[in-house]
Amino acid sequence: MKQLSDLLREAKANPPAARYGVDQVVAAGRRRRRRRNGGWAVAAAVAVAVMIGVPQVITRAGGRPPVPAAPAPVTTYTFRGYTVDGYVVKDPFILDVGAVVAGVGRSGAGEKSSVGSLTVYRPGVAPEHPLTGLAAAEPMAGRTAFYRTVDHQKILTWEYAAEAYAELATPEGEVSKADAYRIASRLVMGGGAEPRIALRVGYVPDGYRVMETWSSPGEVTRFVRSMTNIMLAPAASQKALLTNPGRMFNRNGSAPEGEQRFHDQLVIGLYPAGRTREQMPPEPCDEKSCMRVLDDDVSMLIVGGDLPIEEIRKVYESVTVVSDFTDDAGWYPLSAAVPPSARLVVE
Amino acid sequence: MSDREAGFREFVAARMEPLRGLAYLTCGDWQVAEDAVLSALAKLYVKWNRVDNPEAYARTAVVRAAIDETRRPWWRREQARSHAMPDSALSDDATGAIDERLRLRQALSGLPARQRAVLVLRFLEGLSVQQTAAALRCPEGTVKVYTARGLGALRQILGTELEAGHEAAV
Repeated sequence: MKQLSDLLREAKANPPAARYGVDQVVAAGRRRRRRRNGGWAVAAAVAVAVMIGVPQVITRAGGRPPVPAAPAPVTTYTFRGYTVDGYVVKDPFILDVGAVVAGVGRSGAGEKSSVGSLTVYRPGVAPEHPLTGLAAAEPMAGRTAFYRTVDHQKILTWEYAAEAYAELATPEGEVSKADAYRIASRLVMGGGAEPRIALRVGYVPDGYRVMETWSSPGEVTRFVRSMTNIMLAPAASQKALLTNPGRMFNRNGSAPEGEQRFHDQLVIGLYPAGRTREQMPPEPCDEKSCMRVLDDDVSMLIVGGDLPIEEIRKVYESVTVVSDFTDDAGWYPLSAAVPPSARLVVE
Repeated sequence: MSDREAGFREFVAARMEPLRGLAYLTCGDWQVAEDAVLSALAKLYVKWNRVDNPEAYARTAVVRAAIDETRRPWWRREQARSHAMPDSALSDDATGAIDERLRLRQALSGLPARQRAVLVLRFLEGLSVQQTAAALRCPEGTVKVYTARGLGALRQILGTELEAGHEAAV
């Protein structure tokens, strides 16, 4: 008979080397205090901006819009963040050939608040959670909707336009069904910004195009975890991606039977370093990837994928990372972050 | 360095590792756990002179931060993308110990984050139902239900040879 407490102790044994020490914690605490002390100035600036923006805000909120606008160009997100009684759908942070994704939090609970995610698929793209065999729930603005539990999540899927679906996913017990419907019903298509990326790529292999970008500048002041990623693949792979939404990164051969692996991807991203520059080998590339710890000793550039290492090295050597992650105004617009031939295109 | 800061530094030096383990068991990812600890301790730094029980504050903040991270929309994609991260060095443990650790980690990862947090707070940190409810800001009844469900699920995955110790209080 084993004690659960002993098993739990055993489960957390052998941790990897810590990335942060006491000095980093104290520095983070000082930054947090400075931000809090500076909060009044920011609040005042926001108040002015809100006053200036009142006419536009009212215009937008007034026209509750189950009927979506024309699709935005693929260089921009297809919608922007909005608020609805007690919740905030944040500005999107993932743009890919099949969908746009945004986080959902509670109003007034700060940027870190998170109660789920909203994924808006492009017309004709099947949602990640299959609808086959499901009984329809109450309609959403007159259109088909489904509500069920999948992997401890409540999933509300609805048709926001003909053959176009959106999904709101929230952990069980977090958001009521009525609230989920209210959040979903306020989705307005259009008005999305262009993603800004913390790096720029000068070289991309022939035929490769952006399939997904991931950009979360708001997270940078706390974490550097994957604040920027660009995933590219041969143009011919787009169809496979669109028929397997949500499975685009499943490249380890473990996809369930009948589902395709997504081949030949190239990922360029910034990750937590987990080591210092001194701990890195002098040669940045191994057989599958190239990486280097950046000057902050906290984040790492990784370029890797299912390509010959010579190609990966060329891509790696062509990457320029912004000098200051905290200044997202200095991040590159997506259209400037990759060569024109590699821009995201929806066919 | 002020006395205030010296006291905080001493606390962090002593408690950072246990808090990292606590966060890891809650979220199942060492890097996210470490980010959660950094975030929670940064909050504690700001409130250091006003918090009566820094230990309890830090524990609660870390578990909440770790739960929050697992709710983030990119969580699932990050898990799928973890192949892109550099591998950590292999440990030199005996194979059996590694197998058992992996089994329990896998079993825990199959539970919802709040159920995991309840089990960790109760059986690793030794908190009562009342203290756990306060830490997670939920009713005591919820803690009892999550404890029973979590233990049931772990027994099913690991086999029945599991002694909870606190079960009488469930």
